[in-house]
Amino acid sequence: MSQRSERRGIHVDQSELLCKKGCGYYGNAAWQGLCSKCWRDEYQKARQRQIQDDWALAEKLQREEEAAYVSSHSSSQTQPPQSHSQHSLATFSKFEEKKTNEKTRKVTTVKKFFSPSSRTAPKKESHEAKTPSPSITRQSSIETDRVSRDFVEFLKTLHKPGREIHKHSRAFIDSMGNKKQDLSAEELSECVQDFYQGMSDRLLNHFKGSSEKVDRVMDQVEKYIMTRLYKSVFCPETSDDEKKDLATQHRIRALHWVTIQMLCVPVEEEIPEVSDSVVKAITDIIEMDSKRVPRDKLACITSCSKHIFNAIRVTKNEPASADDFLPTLIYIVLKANPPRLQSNIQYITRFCNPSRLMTGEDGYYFTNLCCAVAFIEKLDAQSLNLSPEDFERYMSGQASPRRQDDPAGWPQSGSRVNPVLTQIQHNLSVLSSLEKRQQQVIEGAQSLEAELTEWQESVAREVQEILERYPLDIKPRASAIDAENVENDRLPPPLQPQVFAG
Amino acid sequence: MSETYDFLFKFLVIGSAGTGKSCLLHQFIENKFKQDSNHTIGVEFGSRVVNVGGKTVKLQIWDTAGQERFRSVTRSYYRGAAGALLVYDITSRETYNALTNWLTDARTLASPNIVIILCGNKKDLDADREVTFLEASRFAQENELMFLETSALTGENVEEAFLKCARSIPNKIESGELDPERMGSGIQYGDASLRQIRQPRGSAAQTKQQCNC
Repeated sequence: MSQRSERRGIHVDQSELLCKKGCGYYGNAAWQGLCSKCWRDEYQKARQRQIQDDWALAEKLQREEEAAYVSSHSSSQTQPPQSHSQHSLATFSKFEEKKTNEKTRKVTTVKKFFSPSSRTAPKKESHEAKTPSPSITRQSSIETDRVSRDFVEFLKTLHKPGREIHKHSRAFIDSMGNKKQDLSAEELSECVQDFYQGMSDRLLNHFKGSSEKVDRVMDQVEKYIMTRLYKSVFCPETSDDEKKDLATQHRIRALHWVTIQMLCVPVEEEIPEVSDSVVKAITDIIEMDSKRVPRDKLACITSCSKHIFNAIRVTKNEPASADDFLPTLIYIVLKANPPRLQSNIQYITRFCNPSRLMTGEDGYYFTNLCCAVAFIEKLDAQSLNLSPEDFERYMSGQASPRRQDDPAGWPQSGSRVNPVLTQIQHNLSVLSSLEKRQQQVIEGAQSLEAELTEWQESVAREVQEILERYPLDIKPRASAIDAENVENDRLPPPLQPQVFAG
Repeated sequence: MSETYDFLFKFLVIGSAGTGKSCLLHQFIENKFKQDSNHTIGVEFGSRVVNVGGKTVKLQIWDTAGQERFRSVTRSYYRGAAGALLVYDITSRETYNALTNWLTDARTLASPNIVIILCGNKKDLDADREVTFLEASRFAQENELMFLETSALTGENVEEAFLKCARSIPNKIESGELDPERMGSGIQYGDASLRQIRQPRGSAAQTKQQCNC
C-alpha cells in the first residue's frame, strides 16, 4: 500500500537519468525512471500483488457472505488481521452508513455470486475464485498501459506544458481513485467536468490563439483519464444504470414486431446496397459498448448515423432530412437492441468533454440517439398510428402484423405472454401448414403418375381394336414400268418422228 | 473544424414535417436545391462560415425531425441553441397553425432570448398559397420575430434568412440578453485571444473570475 503510493509519487527529473534501482543502466520516463529490465520486474511484482489482492478480497467476501448467511451479526464478530482488510471493512462500514438500500442490493448480489460455490469443495472454491482475475486484469492492464504510453509520447511533443498536464492528470486520477467509493454518479461527473474545464482554461493560456491545438490536447487527456477510470465510473453501483439497461433491453425486445411501415421509415431493404448500409449501421451501434473512451463511443454513433443517411439517400435518390433520419434511427435501435444502451448514454453524458456534445457533428448524432431512445420508451399506439386494441395484441404477443394476412391459421384462444413461446407456436403452425401442403403435392404427383400410365395403356388398347376391326390387305407390289422387260421383243419398233418438208 | 473562426453559433431549423427545412439547409450550405443534388455526396450535417460585422462566424445548423409524434422527445435539440429558423409552408395552413407550439418549445427549452426568424417557405408556389404574407407578418410582429418568405427551390431569401439571424446575435450579446460565457448559450469562441479581450468588460465575467479564485 505505502510502496504503491510512493511509486506513484515519483517525480521525473531530467538530471536523474539513471535507473532508480541503481543498477547502472539509464532509466526512461515512460517506465517511471526505471530501465526496461527493472520496469519489467516491477510490473510483474505489481501484477502479482494485484492478483493476490483480488484473491484475498474474493475470499474475504465469501467469508462475509457465509457469516451473514449463518448469523446477522457476523460483521462485529469477524476480526480481520490484515490492515488492508481493515481498511476495506472501514470503507464498507462507511458505505453502509450512507446507503442502506445499496448495501442490501450488494449483499444480495454477493449472496447470489457465492451461493453455488459454497457447496463445492474448498480446493475448487479457491481455484474458481482465482481463475477470472488474471485474464481480466491482464487485458485491462495491457490496454491501460498502451494508452498511458501513448499519452506520455504525445505530451513529450509539448515539452514543459506537457509535464504539467501529465502531473495534473495523474493527480486527478489518484484523487478519483480515493473518492469513487463515496461519490454518486452525478458527483463523479461533476469532478470530471470540473477537471476538463480547469485543464481547458489552463491550456488556453498556454496555446494563445489556437483552439484547435487545445482540442487535440483535450482529446488526449480525455482518452487517458477515461481509460483509467472506466472500470469504476461506467455503470457505477451507486446509480440505477444497470436497472435501466435491463428495462430498455426488455422494452426493445418486446417491440420486435414494429415494422418499417409503422414508423414511416424511408428505407427499402430489398436493395442490396441499402440492406448493406442497414447491417453496417446495426453493427456500429452494437459496437459502441466495446469502446472505453467517450469520444470513441461517439464515433460509433456517428458512423452508424452516416450509414443510415446513406441507406436513405440510396432509397430516395436524394439527400436525407431529419424528418427521415430520426424514424430510421429508431428502427435501427429496435433491430440492434444495443448492449447496455442506457449506461453508455449516461457515461457519454457524464464524462464526455461537454463542448463536443452540445455542438458539433458528434453532438448532433448523439442528441438524435437520445431522442430515439426516449421515443422508444414512450412509444404507444398513437405513435405508430395503431388502434389501442391492435397495439395491445402486438405487445402481448398474441398477434403479429405479418400474421394478419392469414387470420384463420392462428388460433385466437388464450393469451400467451411469453414472446418466445408465441413464436414457437407460430412456427409449429407454419410447419404443420407446410406439411399439409407437401402431402397434397405428393398425392397430386402420385395421381398424375397413375393417370399417365392409364392413358398410355388406353391408347395402346384403342389402336389394337382398330387393327382387328379393319384388317389391312397388302396387294403384291406392281413392278415399275421402266424395269427391264423380258417381253420387249413383242412390241413394235418405236415411232420415229417424221419431218415433212414445208 | 479545420477552418478558423471567431465565433461558433448553434442554429436550429424547426417546423412541421414536409415544410422544406432540409431543403433550406441544403440550399444555404450547397447553394442548390435538393432535387438537383441527386448524385452529390450530401452534407447531412450543416455548417458554414460567414462574415458578420467583420467577424468570421461559423454557423452550425441542426436539422430537426418535424413529425408531431416526435415532438415530445426532440427537446434535447434545443439545448445550447443561439438561433432558430421557424419554418412553415405557405401552401399548407396546417403547418402555419402549428407555429405557436414550435415557438413555445423554442423559447422554453432553448432560451427566452433565442433569436428566431419566421420563414414562409415554398414562395415559388404562390398559386397554391393558403397563408397570406400580411397574416404571417402580423403573427411575427405580435411574437417579436423576424419574418421572411423564402423559396428553397429558387434560393430566394434563403441566405438572407440565415444571415439576418446571425447578425442579430452579436447585438443581443452587446445588450446583455445573451451571455456567451454561460454554458448552453450556443456561442463558442474560436479564438482564445478574443475571449481574453471580452472578459474584462462584463461584470458577470469578473464575478466568474473571483469564483475561480
